[in-house]
Order: sequence, then structure tokens, then C-alpha cells
Amino acid sequence: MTKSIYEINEKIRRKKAVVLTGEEMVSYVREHGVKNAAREVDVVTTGTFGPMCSSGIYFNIAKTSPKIKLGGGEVTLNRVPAYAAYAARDVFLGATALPRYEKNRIRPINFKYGGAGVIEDLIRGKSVLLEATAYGTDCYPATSLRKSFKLSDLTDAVLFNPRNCYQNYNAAVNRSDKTIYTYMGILKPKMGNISYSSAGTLSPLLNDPELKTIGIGTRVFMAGAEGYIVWHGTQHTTAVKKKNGFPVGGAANIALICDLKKTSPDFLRAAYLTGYGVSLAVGVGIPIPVLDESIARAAGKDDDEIFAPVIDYSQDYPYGKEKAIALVSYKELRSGIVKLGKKEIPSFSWSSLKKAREIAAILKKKIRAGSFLLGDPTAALPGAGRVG
Amino acid sequence: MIKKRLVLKFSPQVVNRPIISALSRKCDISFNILQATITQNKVGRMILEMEGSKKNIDAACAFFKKSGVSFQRLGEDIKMDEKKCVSCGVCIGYCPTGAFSFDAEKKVVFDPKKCIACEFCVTHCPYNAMTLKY
Repeated sequence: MTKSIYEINEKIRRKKAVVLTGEEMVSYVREHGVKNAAREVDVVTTGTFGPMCSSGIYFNIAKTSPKIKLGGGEVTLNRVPAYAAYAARDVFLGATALPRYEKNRIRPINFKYGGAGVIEDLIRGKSVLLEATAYGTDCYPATSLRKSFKLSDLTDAVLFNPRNCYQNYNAAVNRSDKTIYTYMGILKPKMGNISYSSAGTLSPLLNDPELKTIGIGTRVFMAGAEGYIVWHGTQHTTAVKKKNGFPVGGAANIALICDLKKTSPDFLRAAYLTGYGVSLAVGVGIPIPVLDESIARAAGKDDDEIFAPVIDYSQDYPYGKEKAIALVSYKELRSGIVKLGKKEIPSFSWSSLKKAREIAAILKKKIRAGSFLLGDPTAALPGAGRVG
Repeated sequence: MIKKRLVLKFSPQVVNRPIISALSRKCDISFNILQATITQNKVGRMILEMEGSKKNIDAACAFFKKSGVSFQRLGEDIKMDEKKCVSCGVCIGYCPTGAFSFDAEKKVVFDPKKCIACEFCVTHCPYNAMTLKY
């Protein structure tokens, strides 16, 4: 038996849709079985909240007199360099951009500011200073600009993720004999700790592992706003090892877009990683329509069915020689202790389960209230499977 | 016998005086210096664990007061900003004494009683949710 997104949307409109969060779906499937779940449940909501470096914003600055062409010139926002080579007034700011002074400090650097900090300042309503120099043309004569602005002063501001919602991810360890500072955190020597970053059973793309329902045009919860999947993410792939039908490691990911002005600092936060840099934590939730039994089964899996590869970040990762030391389940990672051979390693997470739950709950509430309709994808992502 | 952990603050006026040496002579307590630093602006900060009778520990506290050393209980100076904390749990992996844990709702909670004020969380919390206040 299969359903269509159109049919489910009709039920949502009539406020008759049966909506469960990813965690509730686990218990539902355990209790009632996959067949019943596929028939009874219409939508499963997911959520994730963790640092995703591949994030940025773009906006268009107001006209000035004399006019200035930023493209080809240099632009900083609160002294953080931005990219302005699109045209005259378009500015793009990446989350990981750093002011020069941040790079000149004693290592490991304890970062205090960067692109993500500017983004957070903007959504908190703070004033940001734009400084620019340009070469000046006949039609754009100004050669410099210094101006403070707030998010509300901009006509448009867009949050864009070239890559987000990794389907699954590595668990990181350090096999060397000195402490290392990575984007997976501070890793103690001789596998003294292990870090991971996934919402596990609530992770959006693990609830539709074959990408049967998620595609270009899917409407999502993004940092408190309504956003959309606009493309597959950079580094997207479906050609990966699987276990229990779920990819082990990176795999699929998506490019996302939303209105920055509608985002909330509750779900969009600058993250400062000692010795590594600045990143942006973005809360994302994707509703998964339960169109067939395979989706019900996937959405009903528990943390003990999904596995992360344990990767060494001292030698293997930096030199592109990633080889899984072992596979560990998210159940084990979440327990706080991972057993590798005879060694018991304390684990910690970059992804907030509390926030992921909040997001899945918000999405559930909105769909049940009929105020969030599912986006019917206009095109599939590369490597996507089919319903039925 | 009681045990007390204090954070002592030595102002620039008293930072050069041998106060701890005087403490060992005047008060019959055993103590352990867990941490001692002097900042660039000549303010001393020490974490002291004391063990002894209540009477003697009270006398030690009175001695600090008299000597111009301000103090407070350990753990009271490390604060969690609930608005900034996202409950990721990175601190659980970093804290050497297990002062952080998840509650039933997967919210990160901080137990000041277990804190030794090493400040690792203050420096490394990705969301700057931990601060040192004295």
C-alpha cells in the first residue's frame, strides 16, 4: 500500500493527519508493527541541531550616493571579511570567515568572533559595521563605504547552506599521543575520548535513507523559519557502505535556503571551536511523509540500528586515509561510554538531542494544526529511490 | 571534621604577602592547593581545599577576612547561562570531574559541588555558556 504527498496534504488541511516525532515512531512501530504504522501514520517529524560549517548568508545593501560597486573591491562586516564579487551591492558572508586578528593568536586559538558571530548578531537585532573599499568606475564612482546597519534595514537577507543535514557522520578519535583540536572537538591522546555529531534516530535523512520522499522543493523547518531544499548538498553521495539499510558515515546531504529575517537565535547560533574555528549551529527539521512500508520501517528504527564509523583524526582524516577503526551504534555513543576492544572510551556529542526534540515537536504541532503543508518535490536528489 | 573548598581572591595590595604560610602556622587544619594563579593585573586567585574541625575552619575563614583575602565557596564562581546553553553535551566530554550531566529531558545540568573551577568549560564551551564570576 502506498500513499501520496497530495493525499497526506489533504489530511493535513482537514487537520486529520496522524503525525508522530521520530522517537514516537520508534515505539509505535515496536508496538504495532511496520504494516500498521505505514497505514496509520501519515508524517514523521525529525530534527537536528549542531554546528554546520557550510552555512552563510547573503543580502543586498541599500543604494548609496555616490554609488559604489563592491564587486572587485573588499568588504568586511565587523572586521570579518565577506565576499562581494557577485555584483555591485550583493554581499555573501560565510560562517567560518575570521577577522585577521583572530588568526594571529597563540595556538590553540580560542576563537571569539567570526562570520557566524556576525550572523548571530544580525538576527539578535544588533548593529553591524560594513566597511568597504572599491576601485571606482564612471557609473559607480565611490571608492569607500563605512556604514552600520541592522537586519531590519535590509530589504532581503537569506540564510543559505550549501551543505547540511549529513545523513550520518563519523565518530572521531585521536590515536596519536598528543591532544588535537579538531572540528569534532578536543580529542584526547590515545583514544582518550570519542565525539560524534548526529541526532541519531531523529536525524532527518536517516528517516528516509533512500531519499524517496525528500527532494528539491521539500519544505523544511530551518532555524525557526520555513525553508526549502534547493539542491543536493556539496559532497552529497549515495554510493556508500550500508548496515541495516542505513549508510555508515557521511553519505547524502542537502542544500537549504530560508529567509534570515524569520530565523530565531534559539535555532541559529554561532559555535566557537577551540583550535579549529568558528561554525554555525543550524536547527533543521524535515517532515517525512510515510508513503510506504519501507519508509515506515526506516522512520521506526532505533539508535541501535544505525552505526557511525570510528575515524582517527590525528593521522587518517588529515591525510585523506579515513578507514573505520570500528563501527559503533548511536545507542552506544549516546550511553556515554563506547567499548573498543578492552578500552572503555567516554563519548560526547556535538549535536543537541534536546534541541532536535524541540524541533521535531514544533514541526509536529504545526503539521497537526494544518499550518505546515508538505512540499511535493519537483525533482529527486541524485541517487534517490522510488516509492512503492 | 569537615571539608571545605574555597576560591580565594588576593587583591594587588595583599598578593605579595605570605598569607598561606601564616595560615599553616596559625590554624590547625590540613589544606591542599588545587590551583593558584596571578593575573596580569596582579590579582591572585587560589582554590584551596581545607579539612579540619568546624571551629578551626571557621577560624581560617576569619583569618582570611582579617588578612584582606576575599573568598567564596568553590563552584559558586562558575556559572552556566541557561539561555546560551544548547545542551549539546560537549562539556560532559571535557569536564575532568564529571560536573556536567544530562537530565531525563536530555538537558545539560551543572553540579557546582563537583566543580574544581579548572575553567576548561569556560574556555572551551562552543556557545560561551560558562562564565567565571567572582
